[in-house]
Amino acid sequence: MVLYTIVPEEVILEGAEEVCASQEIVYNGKRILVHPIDFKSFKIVQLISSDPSDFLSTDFQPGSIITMTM
Amino acid sequence: MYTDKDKNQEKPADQEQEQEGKTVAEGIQSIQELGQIRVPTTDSNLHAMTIVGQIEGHMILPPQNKTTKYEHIIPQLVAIEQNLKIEGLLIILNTVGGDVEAGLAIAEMVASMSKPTVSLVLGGGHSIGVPIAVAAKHSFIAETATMTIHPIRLTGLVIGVPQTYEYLDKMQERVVRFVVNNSSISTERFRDLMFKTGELARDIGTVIVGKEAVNSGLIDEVGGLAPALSKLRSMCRGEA
Repeated sequence: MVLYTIVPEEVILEGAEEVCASQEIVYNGKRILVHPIDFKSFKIVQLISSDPSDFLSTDFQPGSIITMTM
Repeated sequence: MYTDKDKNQEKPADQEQEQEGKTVAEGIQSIQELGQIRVPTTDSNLHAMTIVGQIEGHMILPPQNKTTKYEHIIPQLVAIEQNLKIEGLLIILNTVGGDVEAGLAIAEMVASMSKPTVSLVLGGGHSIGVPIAVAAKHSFIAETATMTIHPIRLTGLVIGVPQTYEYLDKMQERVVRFVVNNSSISTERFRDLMFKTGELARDIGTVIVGKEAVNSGLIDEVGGLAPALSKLRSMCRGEA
Protein backbone atom coordinates (compact mmCIF):
# COMPACT_ATOMS: atom_id res chain seq x y z
CA MET A 1 0.00 0.00 0.00
CA VAL A 2 1.39 3.38 -0.98
CA LEU A 3 -0.11 6.42 0.68
CA TYR A 4 -0.08 9.64 -1.30
CA THR A 5 -1.16 12.24 1.18
CA ILE A 6 -0.03 15.43 2.91
CA VAL A 7 -0.65 13.92 6.34
CA PRO A 8 2.46 12.33 7.93
CA GLU A 9 2.31 8.55 8.01
CA GLU A 10 2.86 8.36 11.78
CA VAL A 11 -0.27 10.46 12.34
CA ILE A 12 -2.38 8.28 10.07
CA LEU A 13 -1.17 4.97 11.42
CA GLU A 14 -1.24 5.86 15.12
CA GLY A 15 -3.15 3.12 16.93
CA ALA A 16 -3.21 0.83 13.91
CA GLU A 17 -2.57 -2.25 16.06
CA GLU A 18 -5.81 -1.79 17.96
CA VAL A 19 -8.12 -2.27 14.99
CA CYS A 20 -10.14 -5.40 15.75
CA ALA A 21 -11.36 -7.99 13.29
CA SER A 22 -14.78 -7.61 11.72
CA GLN A 23 -17.58 -10.14 11.67
CA GLU A 24 -19.81 -11.11 8.78
CA ILE A 25 -23.56 -11.09 9.41
CA VAL A 26 -26.75 -11.04 7.38
CA TYR A 27 -28.95 -8.02 8.13
CA ASN A 28 -32.24 -7.26 6.34
CA GLY A 29 -31.29 -9.86 3.77
CA LYS A 30 -27.95 -8.22 2.98
CA ARG A 31 -24.55 -9.57 3.87
CA ILE A 32 -22.47 -7.04 5.78
CA LEU A 33 -19.21 -6.85 7.70
CA VAL A 34 -19.62 -5.33 11.16
CA HIS A 35 -17.64 -4.42 14.24
CA PRO A 36 -19.43 -5.37 17.45
CA ILE A 37 -19.98 -2.42 19.83
CA ASP A 38 -21.82 -4.26 22.59
CA PHE A 39 -23.89 -7.45 22.76
CA LYS A 40 -26.70 -6.18 20.55
CA SER A 41 -25.35 -3.32 18.46
CA PHE A 42 -22.90 -3.30 15.60
CA LYS A 43 -21.17 -0.72 13.47
CA ILE A 44 -21.23 -1.37 9.72
CA VAL A 45 -17.77 -1.71 8.17
CA GLN A 46 -18.61 -2.89 4.70
CA LEU A 47 -21.58 -3.96 2.63
CA ILE A 48 -21.08 -7.08 0.55
CA SER A 49 -23.51 -7.04 -2.35
CA SER A 50 -23.50 -7.29 -6.10
CA ASP A 51 -26.53 -5.01 -6.44
CA PRO A 52 -25.13 -1.51 -6.97
CA SER A 53 -28.35 0.15 -5.79
CA ASP A 54 -27.77 -1.28 -2.30
CA PHE A 55 -24.79 1.05 -2.03
CA LEU A 56 -26.98 4.12 -2.50
CA SER A 57 -29.17 3.08 0.43
CA THR A 58 -28.43 5.08 3.57
CA ASP A 59 -29.18 2.03 5.77
CA PHE A 60 -25.95 0.34 4.79
CA GLN A 61 -23.51 3.26 4.86
CA PRO A 62 -20.23 2.31 6.55
CA GLY A 63 -20.21 3.70 10.09
CA SER A 64 -23.98 3.32 10.63
CA ILE A 65 -24.92 1.56 13.83
CA ILE A 66 -27.46 -1.23 13.75
CA THR A 67 -29.23 -2.56 16.81
CA MET A 68 -30.48 -6.11 16.90
CA THR A 69 -33.89 -6.63 18.46
CA MET A 70 -34.30 -9.90 20.29
CA MET B 1 -36.92 10.57 26.42
CA TYR B 2 -40.54 9.50 26.69
CA THR B 3 -42.49 10.08 29.88
CA ASP B 4 -45.70 8.43 31.01
CA LYS B 5 -47.53 11.57 30.06
CA ASP B 6 -46.40 11.11 26.50
CA LYS B 7 -47.61 7.55 26.49
CA ASN B 8 -51.08 8.56 27.69
CA GLN B 9 -51.55 10.89 24.80
CA GLU B 10 -53.62 9.87 21.86
CA LYS B 11 -51.97 7.36 19.63
CA PRO B 12 -51.41 9.38 16.46
CA ALA B 13 -49.55 12.11 18.34
CA ASP B 14 -47.51 9.48 20.13
CA GLN B 15 -46.60 7.78 16.90
CA GLU B 16 -45.70 11.07 15.37
CA GLN B 17 -43.44 11.87 18.27
CA GLU B 18 -41.86 8.46 18.11
CA GLN B 19 -41.27 8.95 14.41
CA GLU B 20 -39.75 12.34 15.07
CA GLY B 21 -37.57 10.90 17.84
CA LYS B 22 -36.35 8.22 15.48
CA THR B 23 -35.47 10.72 12.76
CA VAL B 24 -33.61 12.91 15.26
CA ALA B 25 -31.70 9.88 16.55
CA GLU B 26 -30.81 8.86 12.99
CA GLY B 27 -29.75 12.41 12.26
CA ILE B 28 -27.45 12.51 15.28
CA GLN B 29 -25.99 9.16 14.34
CA SER B 30 -25.19 10.27 10.83
CA ILE B 31 -23.51 13.42 12.18
CA GLN B 32 -21.39 11.34 14.56
CA GLU B 33 -20.47 8.63 12.11
CA LEU B 34 -20.27 10.30 8.75
CA GLY B 35 -19.98 13.95 9.72
CA GLN B 36 -23.01 14.52 7.56
CA ILE B 37 -26.54 15.64 8.19
CA ARG B 38 -29.58 14.14 6.60
CA VAL B 39 -31.50 16.84 4.83
CA PRO B 40 -35.17 16.64 3.87
CA THR B 41 -35.33 14.52 0.78
CA THR B 42 -36.85 15.74 -2.43
CA ASP B 43 -36.51 13.88 -5.66
CA SER B 44 -33.37 15.09 -7.33
CA ASN B 45 -32.01 14.05 -10.68
CA LEU B 46 -28.51 14.90 -9.51
CA HIS B 47 -26.42 12.91 -7.10
CA ALA B 48 -23.83 14.50 -4.81
CA MET B 49 -20.87 12.45 -3.68
CA THR B 50 -18.54 13.74 -0.99
CA ILE B 51 -14.94 12.60 -0.87
CA VAL B 52 -13.54 13.71 2.47
CA GLY B 53 -10.61 12.97 4.75
CA GLN B 54 -8.31 10.11 3.83
CA ILE B 55 -9.12 7.91 0.88
CA GLU B 56 -9.02 4.47 2.42
CA GLY B 57 -7.65 1.64 0.34
CA HIS B 58 -6.40 -1.83 1.04
CA MET B 59 -5.97 -1.23 4.74
CA ILE B 60 -8.55 -0.14 7.29
CA LEU B 61 -7.15 3.01 8.84
CA PRO B 62 -7.25 3.60 12.61
CA PRO B 63 -10.44 5.29 13.84
CA GLN B 64 -8.94 8.77 14.38
CA ASN B 65 -8.85 9.17 10.60
CA LYS B 66 -11.88 10.43 8.79
CA THR B 67 -12.02 8.26 5.71
CA THR B 68 -13.75 7.74 2.39
CA LYS B 69 -14.02 4.02 1.71
CA TYR B 70 -13.37 3.13 -1.91
CA GLU B 71 -15.17 -0.20 -1.71
CA HIS B 72 -18.36 1.75 -1.00
CA ILE B 73 -17.77 4.58 -3.48
CA ILE B 74 -17.07 2.32 -6.47
CA PRO B 75 -20.39 0.41 -6.47
CA GLN B 76 -22.13 3.74 -5.79
CA LEU B 77 -20.61 5.02 -9.03
CA VAL B 78 -21.89 1.90 -10.80
CA ALA B 79 -25.37 2.53 -9.37
CA ILE B 80 -25.26 6.19 -10.43
CA GLU B 81 -24.14 5.27 -13.94
CA GLN B 82 -26.94 2.76 -14.47
CA ASN B 83 -29.77 4.44 -12.52
CA LEU B 84 -32.11 6.06 -15.03
CA LYS B 85 -33.36 8.63 -12.52
CA ILE B 86 -29.88 10.06 -11.90
CA GLU B 87 -28.81 12.38 -14.69
CA GLY B 88 -25.64 13.92 -13.30
CA LEU B 89 -23.05 13.60 -10.58
CA LEU B 90 -21.53 16.34 -8.45
CA ILE B 91 -18.33 15.31 -6.67
CA ILE B 92 -17.44 17.44 -3.68
CA LEU B 93 -13.83 17.12 -2.61
CA ASN B 94 -12.18 18.04 0.66
CA THR B 95 -9.51 15.42 0.96
CA VAL B 96 -5.94 15.20 2.23
CA GLY B 97 -5.12 12.32 -0.11
CA GLY B 98 -4.72 8.67 0.71
CA ASP B 99 -4.14 5.34 -0.95
CA VAL B 100 -2.79 5.69 -4.50
CA GLU B 101 -4.58 2.67 -5.92
CA ALA B 102 -7.91 3.48 -4.28
CA GLY B 103 -7.70 7.10 -5.41
CA LEU B 104 -6.79 6.18 -8.96
CA ALA B 105 -9.58 3.58 -9.01
CA ILE B 106 -12.17 6.20 -8.08
CA ALA B 107 -10.67 8.66 -10.58
CA GLU B 108 -10.76 6.10 -13.41
CA MET B 109 -14.38 5.19 -12.60
CA VAL B 110 -15.44 8.85 -12.64
CA ALA B 111 -13.50 9.57 -15.85
CA SER B 112 -15.14 6.65 -17.66
CA MET B 113 -18.72 7.54 -16.74
CA SER B 114 -21.06 8.48 -19.56
CA LYS B 115 -23.21 10.80 -17.42
CA PRO B 116 -22.29 14.45 -16.86
CA THR B 117 -19.90 14.87 -13.94
CA VAL B 118 -18.74 18.05 -12.22
CA SER B 119 -16.20 18.21 -9.41
CA LEU B 120 -15.89 20.94 -6.83
CA VAL B 121 -12.77 21.31 -4.71
CA LEU B 122 -13.55 22.98 -1.39
CA GLY B 123 -11.00 23.47 1.35
CA GLY B 124 -8.46 21.06 -0.03
CA GLY B 125 -7.95 18.51 -2.75
CA HIS B 126 -4.43 17.33 -2.03
CA SER B 127 -2.17 14.59 -3.39
CA ILE B 128 -4.35 11.77 -4.74
CA GLY B 129 -7.32 14.18 -4.56
CA VAL B 130 -5.85 15.91 -7.64
CA PRO B 131 -6.58 13.04 -10.11
CA ILE B 132 -10.10 12.69 -8.68
CA ALA B 133 -10.74 16.42 -9.14
CA VAL B 134 -9.61 16.38 -12.76
CA ALA B 135 -11.46 13.11 -13.53
CA ALA B 136 -14.81 14.90 -13.77
CA LYS B 137 -15.81 16.31 -17.15
CA HIS B 138 -15.78 19.81 -15.71
CA SER B 139 -13.95 20.88 -12.56
CA PHE B 140 -14.42 23.78 -10.18
CA ILE B 141 -12.28 25.03 -7.33
CA ALA B 142 -13.38 27.42 -4.59
CA GLU B 143 -11.39 30.63 -4.47
CA THR B 144 -9.82 29.72 -1.12
CA ALA B 145 -9.37 26.00 -1.77
CA THR B 146 -5.88 24.56 -2.05
CA MET B 147 -4.29 21.64 -3.84
CA THR B 148 -0.90 20.24 -2.86
CA ILE B 149 1.11 18.61 -5.61
CA HIS B 150 4.13 16.66 -4.39
CA PRO B 151 6.00 13.47 -5.28
CA ILE B 152 4.94 10.03 -4.05
CA ARG B 153 7.41 8.66 -1.54
CA LEU B 154 7.84 6.37 1.40
CA THR B 155 8.49 8.00 4.73
CA GLY B 156 12.14 8.58 5.53
CA LEU B 157 14.97 10.39 3.87
CA VAL B 158 16.81 7.58 2.16
CA ILE B 159 15.32 5.14 -0.31
CA GLY B 160 16.84 1.71 0.35
CA VAL B 161 17.27 0.00 -2.99
CA PRO B 162 17.05 1.27 -6.58
CA GLN B 163 14.02 -0.98 -7.18
CA THR B 164 12.05 0.92 -4.53
CA TYR B 165 12.80 4.16 -6.28
CA GLU B 166 11.75 2.74 -9.61
CA TYR B 167 8.54 1.34 -8.13
CA LEU B 168 7.60 4.70 -6.62
CA ASP B 169 8.55 6.41 -9.87
CA LYS B 170 6.16 4.11 -11.73
CA MET B 171 3.35 4.82 -9.26
CA GLN B 172 4.00 8.51 -9.74
CA GLU B 173 4.00 8.16 -13.50
CA ARG B 174 0.47 6.70 -13.33
CA VAL B 175 -0.74 9.75 -11.41
CA VAL B 176 1.05 12.22 -13.71
CA ARG B 177 -0.28 10.53 -16.85
CA PHE B 178 -3.84 10.47 -15.53
CA VAL B 179 -3.78 14.14 -14.53
CA VAL B 180 -2.25 15.26 -17.83
CA ASN B 181 -4.74 13.21 -19.87
CA ASN B 182 -7.75 14.51 -17.96
CA SER B 183 -6.92 18.21 -17.65
CA SER B 184 -5.30 20.89 -19.78
CA ILE B 185 -2.04 21.00 -17.79
CA SER B 186 1.13 19.91 -19.62
CA THR B 187 3.39 17.14 -18.30
CA GLU B 188 6.27 19.62 -17.91
CA ARG B 189 4.17 22.12 -15.96
CA PHE B 190 2.79 19.40 -13.66
CA ARG B 191 6.27 18.00 -13.02
CA ASP B 192 7.55 21.52 -12.32
CA LEU B 193 4.88 21.96 -9.67
CA MET B 194 5.59 18.51 -8.24
CA PHE B 195 9.33 18.97 -7.81
CA LYS B 196 9.47 22.64 -6.90
CA THR B 197 11.66 23.43 -3.91
CA GLY B 198 11.27 26.16 -1.35
CA GLU B 199 7.47 26.10 -1.22
CA LEU B 200 6.78 23.45 1.40
CA ALA B 201 8.55 23.34 4.77
CA ARG B 202 9.10 19.59 4.97
CA ASP B 203 8.85 18.54 1.39
CA ILE B 204 9.28 19.45 -2.23
CA GLY B 205 6.20 20.34 -4.23
CA THR B 206 3.71 23.20 -4.50
CA VAL B 207 0.54 24.37 -2.85
CA ILE B 208 -1.72 26.01 -5.39
CA VAL B 209 -4.68 28.13 -4.34
CA GLY B 210 -7.94 28.67 -6.23
CA LYS B 211 -7.14 30.77 -9.29
CA GLU B 212 -3.59 29.37 -9.61
CA ALA B 213 -5.07 25.92 -10.22
CA VAL B 214 -7.12 27.37 -13.07
CA ASN B 215 -4.18 29.34 -14.50
CA SER B 216 -2.01 26.22 -14.54
CA GLY B 217 -4.68 24.36 -16.52
CA LEU B 218 -5.35 21.80 -13.82
CA ILE B 219 -8.89 22.93 -12.97
CA ASP B 220 -11.40 24.41 -15.41
CA GLU B 221 -13.00 27.19 -13.40
CA VAL B 222 -13.04 29.05 -10.08
CA GLY B 223 -16.46 28.83 -8.48
CA GLY B 224 -18.66 27.53 -5.74
CA LEU B 225 -21.86 25.57 -5.38
CA ALA B 226 -24.19 27.57 -7.62
CA PRO B 227 -21.83 27.72 -10.64
CA ALA B 228 -21.05 24.00 -10.23
CA LEU B 229 -24.72 23.04 -10.09
CA SER B 230 -25.76 25.27 -12.97
CA LYS B 231 -22.91 23.85 -15.08
CA LEU B 232 -24.02 20.32 -14.22
CA ARG B 233 -27.66 21.11 -15.08
CA SER B 234 -26.68 22.61 -18.41
CA MET B 235 -24.53 19.54 -19.15
CA CYS B 236 -27.55 17.35 -18.33
CA ARG B 237 -29.61 19.33 -20.82
CA GLY B 238 -27.02 18.50 -23.45
CA GLU B 239 -25.42 21.93 -23.62
CA ALA B 240 -21.64 22.07 -23.47
